[in-house]
Amino acid sequence: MASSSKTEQKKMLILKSSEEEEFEIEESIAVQSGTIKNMVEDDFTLIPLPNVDTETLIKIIKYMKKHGEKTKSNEKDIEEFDKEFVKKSFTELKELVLAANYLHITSLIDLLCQAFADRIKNKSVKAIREIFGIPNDFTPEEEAEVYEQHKWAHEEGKEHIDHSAY
Amino acid sequence: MDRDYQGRVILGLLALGGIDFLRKRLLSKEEEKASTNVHEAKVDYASQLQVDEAKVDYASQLQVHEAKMDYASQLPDDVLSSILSRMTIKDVVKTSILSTRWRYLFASMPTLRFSLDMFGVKYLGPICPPYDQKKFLEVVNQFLQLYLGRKVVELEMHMFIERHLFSRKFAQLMHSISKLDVERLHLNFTCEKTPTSQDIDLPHDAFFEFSLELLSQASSLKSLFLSVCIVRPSVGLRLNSLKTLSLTGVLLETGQLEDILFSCLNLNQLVIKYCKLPHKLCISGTVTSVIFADCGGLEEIDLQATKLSGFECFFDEKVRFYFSSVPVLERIKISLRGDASMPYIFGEFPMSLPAQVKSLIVTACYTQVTHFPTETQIFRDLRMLALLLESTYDFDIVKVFPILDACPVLQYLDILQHKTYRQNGRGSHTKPPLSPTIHTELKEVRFGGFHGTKEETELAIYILRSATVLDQMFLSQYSINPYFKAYYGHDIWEERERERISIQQQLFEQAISSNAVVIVQ
Repeated sequence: MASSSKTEQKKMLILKSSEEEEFEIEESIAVQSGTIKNMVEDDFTLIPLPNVDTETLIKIIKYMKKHGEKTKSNEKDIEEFDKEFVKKSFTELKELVLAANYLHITSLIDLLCQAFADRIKNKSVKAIREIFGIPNDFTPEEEAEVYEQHKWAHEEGKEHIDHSAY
Repeated sequence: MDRDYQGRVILGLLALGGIDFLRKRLLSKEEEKASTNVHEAKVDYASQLQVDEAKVDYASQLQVHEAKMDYASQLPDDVLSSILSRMTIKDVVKTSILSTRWRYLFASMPTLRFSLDMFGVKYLGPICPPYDQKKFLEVVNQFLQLYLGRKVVELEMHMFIERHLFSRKFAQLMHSISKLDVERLHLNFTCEKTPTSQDIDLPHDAFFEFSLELLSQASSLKSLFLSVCIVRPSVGLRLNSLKTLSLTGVLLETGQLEDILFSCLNLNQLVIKYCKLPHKLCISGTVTSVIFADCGGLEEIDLQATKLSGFECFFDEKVRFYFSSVPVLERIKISLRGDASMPYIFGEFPMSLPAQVKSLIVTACYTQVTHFPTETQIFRDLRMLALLLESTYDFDIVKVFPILDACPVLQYLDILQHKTYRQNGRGSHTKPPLSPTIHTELKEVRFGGFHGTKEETELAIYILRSATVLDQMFLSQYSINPYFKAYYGHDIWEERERERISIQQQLFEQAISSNAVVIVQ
């Protein structure tokens, strides 16, 4: 393989998780994260990420790598990857979206928010409470007031309401 | 219910790492409330544990506790808003009852879409009874009260409204909408999500009269989409922020469009689709791009918009064009129904075409192409021509050869044929081959939907023998960019590789230009 006279060295960065584990990644791929991009512009090459644990960081790097090689021909491939990527537990999704939000990776935030939305679409209030584990902190009077305010939404129309939590 | 719940949560948290962990995670007011319950939970701890241990083993209990943690509380508001914005209004409003934090969370979405789906109601067709219209208007009005002082970037509304019954309620609604600083507004006056080409045939009094005056306070409005209504312009009204105006299925009466354009002094793009037009139209003002799609009723159109650079139209029948004042018009795309269209486009049309028009795309379909003229007028300055021929049945493609003489300075030629069935040299009488002409400017030719038939090859040869400076001829079985994107079918040259090469070679040898490259794909 003939090498060109001008060898391009790909600039590498090191990302450090909250558990102090380090991961090497190409700069061109890492700058999909707005946060990392800013730090690179301030000349950082070792990027500490105290808000992101190792497990989550590994997944995020995997995502960025896949999306970093986006060309016209592998759109379908990336779609499949995204579909599989969000098949995770709620805890994992939550950690991912918090990290993606902190890292400012817009496409990943969108993907994860859509995944959340898909899981709670058409579900009953009861089911959403269970899924998210949201405690009801209304007083009975407040709750009745809120119900009346948006009565039309709580009335079951002709569509099917999904009461299952999963 | 809740005390127990929180008790178990605290239990789980304590097990996972102590009070400190708990404290770190307590971010919002709600959690502060929860922390006071910690002590209560501790008191219960002993009795709970005994009971629980008896039932389940500790490890799986840990998992259950994790699952019952309030995830949403850790997600910031803007993430939750993003999740909500991907759900229907109905689902979103329901979340208001989840907890105090969620009560007003839904009132921060940048995009709002209102339709009968909100009530789980569906009608077959554009119209619905007054009961639904009333309920809809009331619910939306009430909903928008919660958005007072907030900004909504995009708002969509799909609802049939009877003008005799609900004009006032609707005006109230528009007043609320104006205050939201909306940038993109879609008002579709039918119950369907997308207006269809049949909607224009509804009885006249089914069309809501939308007065543009209702938008006088909408100072951030950049794009306005109005469907299936009548638009009443207003003297003295100025919609200065408006850049795009799109009218679909609108009944336009004489003079209305002109008055509307007069009110929109910064308009860039105008799209008019499925509309019923008056006999005469005059396009003036600041628009740079105008698209008429599938409209009827027009007989005469005068283009006077001095900044107009692109014009696209698809009309029901032949229309007389006047180009009074379009000094920067460069691109035209035209499609006319009817048998007279081809003779018109290659006859009268070029006579009034302004000199600076560089690019012309002509779409023809079905029987129109059988009326391709044998002699054509001259397009004196045209540099780029695209002929998009759809569903051409057994049209003999060779018939388009006169375009070479019609466009003496043409540099780029695209011919796209989209046949409904393949023709294998059927009906080919033995005609003498065309004698070539001389064309000194043509540089690139692209032929889409090329299947290597006798007629197609003959046309290609004619061009190759006429174009003295041709650089490239590209003949593809597929569609060519940017016209149609979809192509269904297997590769026709798959088992005919030798034939493909042979045709390519044959064509190459015919090329009179020494630079010519011929590619058959």
